[in-house]
Amino acid sequence: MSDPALRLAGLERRYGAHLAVAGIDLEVAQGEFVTLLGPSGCGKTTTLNMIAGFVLPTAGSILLGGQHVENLPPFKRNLGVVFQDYALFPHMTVAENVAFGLTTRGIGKAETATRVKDALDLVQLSALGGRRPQQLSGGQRQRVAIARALVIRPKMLLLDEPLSNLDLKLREEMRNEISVLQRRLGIATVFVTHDQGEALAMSDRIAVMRAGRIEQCGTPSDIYLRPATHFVAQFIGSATLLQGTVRGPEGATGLVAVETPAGMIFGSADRHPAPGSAATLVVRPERLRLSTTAPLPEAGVATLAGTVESAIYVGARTQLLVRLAAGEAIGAEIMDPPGTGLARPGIPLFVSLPGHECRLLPALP
Amino acid sequence: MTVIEKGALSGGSRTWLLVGLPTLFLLLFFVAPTLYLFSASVMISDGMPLDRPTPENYQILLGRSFYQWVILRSFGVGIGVGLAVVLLSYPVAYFLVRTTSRWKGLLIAVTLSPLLASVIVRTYGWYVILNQEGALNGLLVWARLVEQPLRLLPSTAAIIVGLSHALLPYGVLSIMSSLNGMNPALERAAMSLGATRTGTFLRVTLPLTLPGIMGGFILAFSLAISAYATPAILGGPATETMATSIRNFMVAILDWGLGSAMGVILLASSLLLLLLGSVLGGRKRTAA
Repeated sequence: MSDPALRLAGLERRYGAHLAVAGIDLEVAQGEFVTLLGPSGCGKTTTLNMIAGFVLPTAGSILLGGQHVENLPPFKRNLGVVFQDYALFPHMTVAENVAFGLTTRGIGKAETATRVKDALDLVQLSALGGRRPQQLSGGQRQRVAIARALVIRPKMLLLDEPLSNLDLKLREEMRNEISVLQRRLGIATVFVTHDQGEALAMSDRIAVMRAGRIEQCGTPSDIYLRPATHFVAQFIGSATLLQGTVRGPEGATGLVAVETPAGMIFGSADRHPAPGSAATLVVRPERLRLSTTAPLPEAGVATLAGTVESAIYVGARTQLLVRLAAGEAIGAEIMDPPGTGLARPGIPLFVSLPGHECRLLPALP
Repeated sequence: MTVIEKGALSGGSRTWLLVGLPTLFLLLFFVAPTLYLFSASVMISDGMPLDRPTPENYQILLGRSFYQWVILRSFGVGIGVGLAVVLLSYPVAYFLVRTTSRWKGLLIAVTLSPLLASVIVRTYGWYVILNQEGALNGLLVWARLVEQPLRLLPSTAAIIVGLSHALLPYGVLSIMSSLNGMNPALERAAMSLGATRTGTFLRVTLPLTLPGIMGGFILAFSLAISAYATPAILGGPATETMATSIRNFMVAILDWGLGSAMGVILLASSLLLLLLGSVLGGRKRTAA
């Protein structure tokens, strides 16, 4: 088997007493798209800068295709980097920008011209080669930056929040474009973002970072459906967290019964926690069922009574806040527009929580 | 309706007052003397007023080799100081812009400190260092690098050294401002594309900070070419510049015609360079 495109082992960056990156282990396979996702200050950009060679690690190693590179300067690493503000050279035309990485490699005029043309074709900007970066729109600049990074045929592509300066519509377009391009070229990519939507839509795997560490690394559905920590559960998507005490396995359902102030609720876990221990249930708003009449009892489904407290319209759905009889609030999402069906503040209803949709986490320490 | 008109009127007269006073000041104390300088340069010959303009003063200054040397020496001083200021201040400016030291503010203040000292004090400082019994000669003799103290004063080189020191802050400020306006990610981008540190500097940083370099050079050049005190102290009769010769014409020889003509030549040289610089700088800007 060939080496992974990238392997980080115990990677650390210390600034004085502050650990910006506190020991990261990560592998990116050939052709894989891995996202570093986290709030600002979590160390994701520092990690990317260490891979690119702009920041030197204080400990740990970086292997590109099996080769140690932590002591190589950035210009010897052969990586394509796309920056948040694109960093196009303002004193050069689009074509000169794209050609920059080829001239530094001493590639001849004829080959440079063909490769620049191919790269601009790839991002559909062949007509704009003579323009200056300042004459382009945000999306076009983004494409030039990608062409410039890809034209050198890098070992990997590093993307540092490349979409954050674009407006919503364009962001979604570029998101798809980058994904399609990356899959077509089969180039290993590390993508840094704080936007969970981008991460879920684009990645093969997501590494959720917090305070310099990776909290969880897995496929988008893994991360969303089976969060490993409270932080991941709350950072990705919205979720209601219900605290309780583990009572034990629930019959033959494979679920765990948890007693919460709102009542007995069932949850699923890979490893069942000991009875009597504290636990948290993660409830996704789109996964629970609402009804005005009490549903028939069903094994592994908890039913709680409550009242609609507020209904917020977000277009495709309406976000409800349901106040349970025991006093806790739980978020739900339904299709009814506000003022119709269940989306009317004040109406009483029943909330059903299927146990296999509720993820069980150990309680906060 | 009337209220609005009245408001507009008083607003208009306020504007006139604001623009008018400085304009009047400039007319009285800049435009009028400059015009007088022009007329004196062609209307006075051999110290005597004429009734018809003559190019005689210019013929003397541009035709005789002694005065040609004065003009050339002044240009040499200007270009030498401009180059020295730009070359010395670039690394300083680069360091000051990029450093994350908490002493950054203090370091900038220290760099600008030559501006705080009086020109006379600063220049006599150099005199103390450079004269025959001075600190530099003492050191050279003590280290046995020379047998006899060197004659470093008066000399054109000493004038360039003294003026470069005085004008360094202008270069640093000008280059700092253009470095500050440059996105630091551009250097990272260049390096990620395979450019070495030198290549990055030559192909990205230098071209993008060229306006700052030009600005620093033009400032240093035009201040150096018209400086009087430093050439007067560190130079001598053999190293006259346009500025010191103007003083000689006006005060010692009392030939206002020649003095005025030299003044016009000095003014024209500075303007020429300024024009050249703004043409070059302007082309750069529209290109960028």
